[in-house]
Order: sequence, then structure tokens, then C-alpha cells
Amino acid sequence: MGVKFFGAFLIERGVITPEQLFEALEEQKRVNLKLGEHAIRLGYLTPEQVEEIRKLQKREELRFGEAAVRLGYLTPEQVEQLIRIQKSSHKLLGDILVEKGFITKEVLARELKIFESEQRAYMTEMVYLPEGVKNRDFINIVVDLGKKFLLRTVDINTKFGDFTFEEYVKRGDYDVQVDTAGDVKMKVIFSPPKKLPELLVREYGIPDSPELRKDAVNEFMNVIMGNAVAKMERLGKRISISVPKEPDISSKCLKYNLVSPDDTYTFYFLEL
Amino acid sequence: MAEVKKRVLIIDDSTFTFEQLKSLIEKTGIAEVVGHGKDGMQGVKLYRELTPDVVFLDILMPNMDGLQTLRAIMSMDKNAKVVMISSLGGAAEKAEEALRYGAKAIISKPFDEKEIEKILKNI
Repeated sequence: MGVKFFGAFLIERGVITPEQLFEALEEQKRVNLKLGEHAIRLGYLTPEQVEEIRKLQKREELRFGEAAVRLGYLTPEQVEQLIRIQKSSHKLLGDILVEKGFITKEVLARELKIFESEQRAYMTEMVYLPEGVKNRDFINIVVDLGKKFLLRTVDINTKFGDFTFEEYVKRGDYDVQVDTAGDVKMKVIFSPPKKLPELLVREYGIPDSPELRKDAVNEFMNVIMGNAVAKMERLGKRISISVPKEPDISSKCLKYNLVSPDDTYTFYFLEL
Repeated sequence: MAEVKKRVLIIDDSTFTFEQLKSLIEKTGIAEVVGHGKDGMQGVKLYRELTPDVVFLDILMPNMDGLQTLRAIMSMDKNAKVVMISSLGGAAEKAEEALRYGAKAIISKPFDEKEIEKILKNI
């Protein structure tokens, strides 16, 4: 279990069926209009303009409002108004499930309580970040998830270390990079000691090999970044991530160590 | 008489994830892993050949991704029981699409042993 969405949680708990969730999500999609749909409804944009905005969005990985302003179809004030309207008319999944009679209000309240207490294990611990660093939320979330998953997966307890600005230096064969796009554009490298892949493979009694160890670290990074994306989504930020790959950073970047008694587990962040 | 174990096909491009999930699935004692598809196309082929009871399918794969693979399997067998594997912390959009195409459940990485057991029992 990592960060998860409430609908999937309810299915696991046997409270609703996948079919019921699907029906509720369809209703949510119908009722919770996207910004472009609100804009059409209010007469601010035509469907053709919305289509043009969406194309620019995709090409340059912009938010809808940013793209609309760039094309001159909406003013920043209109975008703010549309966001306000969208927020005030937004229906939550739980409320729709109750409206459709799939669960009662009491069951919803109970399940929300359990969900929130389970997800609390994934609440982000704050770290000190130097001035001038952008995307602070994201960086904080990534290092915090790194700490949590080291403990959860291979029982390695680490402490938060310090941030420095340094050139990236490859530690070994297990360094792995993931690139992000969308609301946060960064390159993120995880540089572990070679003990980590050994432990990851041993944890599951898996037949060992250099390729499998490399894959294990790649997957570990994939899980951190995937969960970071989910957490950022809850903060209203949309991010896409690349598959894990060989590092290609050659400039100074933000370096951060998680420190255990024997080792350091290092992250590098390069803003793009 | 020994209880018949559920036959599971895992479709995931990561060998480590496959081995990890296989270990957890077989630890439950109620299922056995009968195949590993390293990509969507191989996964669809293996589904046809092995006719497993359950499929664990990664959402994010290169070339033919998880959602395309899911659609292909569901079009072959509308009763297929597919569990999507998400490393995006269960990010809602992908999960929603998967359910629309007929997935029965979604599990997030890192895997939870109890969650896998529950899914295998109830699916």
C-alpha cells in the first residue's frame, strides 16, 4: 500500500464494487466540468478555441488556463473566475456514492476516517530547504518518501541530512534518474550505496543477478516518484514522469542526503 | 483433496516487480504464477495460451501500455479478471480509465501482502 485514491480503497474494503465505482466516476466526470467546458457554458470560449488551447497544452505541457491566456482567448481574471466556479461546483466521489445509494452517509464517514488514518503514514515530514529553491513541495515530498520507503521496504532507518549545491558525481552502477514534466520540470537522480539493491533482492528471496539488482533500484525510484506524483496531484499539481534511466546531468544541482549510521542515500535535483 | 490454486499471469516489463509479486502471490498459498509477459503484446499472447484465472497487469509499460493491453484482453474475454498495478500511487485518472475498460481492482506499489491476499480471495 502506498498513497492511493479513495475509490480503490473502497473496492479493497469490499464496500463498493468496481461497477459501482465506475458508475460514480462517470457521474463525477459528467457533473465536474473541466475548465474548458465551464468556459464554453459561460460563452467565454467556442469549442474550436478550447480544442486549440488543448493542443497547445499538450505541446508545451501547460495548464489549461496558462494556454488560454497565452493564446489571448482568456484573461488571467477570467481564468481565476472559472477556477472559482469549478471549485464551488465540484462534487466529491463519496457524496456521489451516497447520492446513488451505493453507501450510506454513516458508512462514508467511517471509511473516510479509516482511509485518512491509513494514509497518515504517508503524510510528508517537512525538511529545511535553502532559499531560492523552486518546487519546494515536490522536493520535500520526494526526500520524505525516500526516507519512508527505505524504512518500509528494507528496514533502513535514515535521518534527514543537509542540502548543498554540488556537481553530480556518479557513485556507482545503481544511480538512476527520472525526469518530470508538467507543473514541475526537473531531473531527479537517486544515488544509493550498493547495499540497497542487495537488500531489495534479498527481501523477496529472489534469484540474484546484476541485472535484477539494477532493476530493483529502478523500481524503487519508480515507486518513490509515482507516489510523489500522486501526492502532488492532491496539491493540485499535474506531473508526468519518465521511466527510470541512466543519469545524464553534468551541471551543479541541489544535492540531498538521507543519512543512516553506515551509509548515505543521495538525491540530486536539477530544475529545468 | 488439495484445493485448486488460482492461476495467475503477471504482465510487467520489470523482472524485479515480477519476482516480487510472484513471491507475494505464492506466499498466500491460494494462487500460483503460471506466466510472465514482459510487455503488452507478449502478455496478450500468453493470456490466449494459458487462460489464467487472474491477470496482474502493469499500467505503465513501454510500447503497448497497460490500458491498451487491458482492452485487448477484455475484447478477447469479457469475463477476464484483471488487476491493474500502478506505481502512480493510484493516480485517479489512470485508475478510472482502467475500471471503465473492465479492470476488477487496482493495487499500488509498494505492494502490501495482505492487500494481494484479499484481492485474490475476493476476485
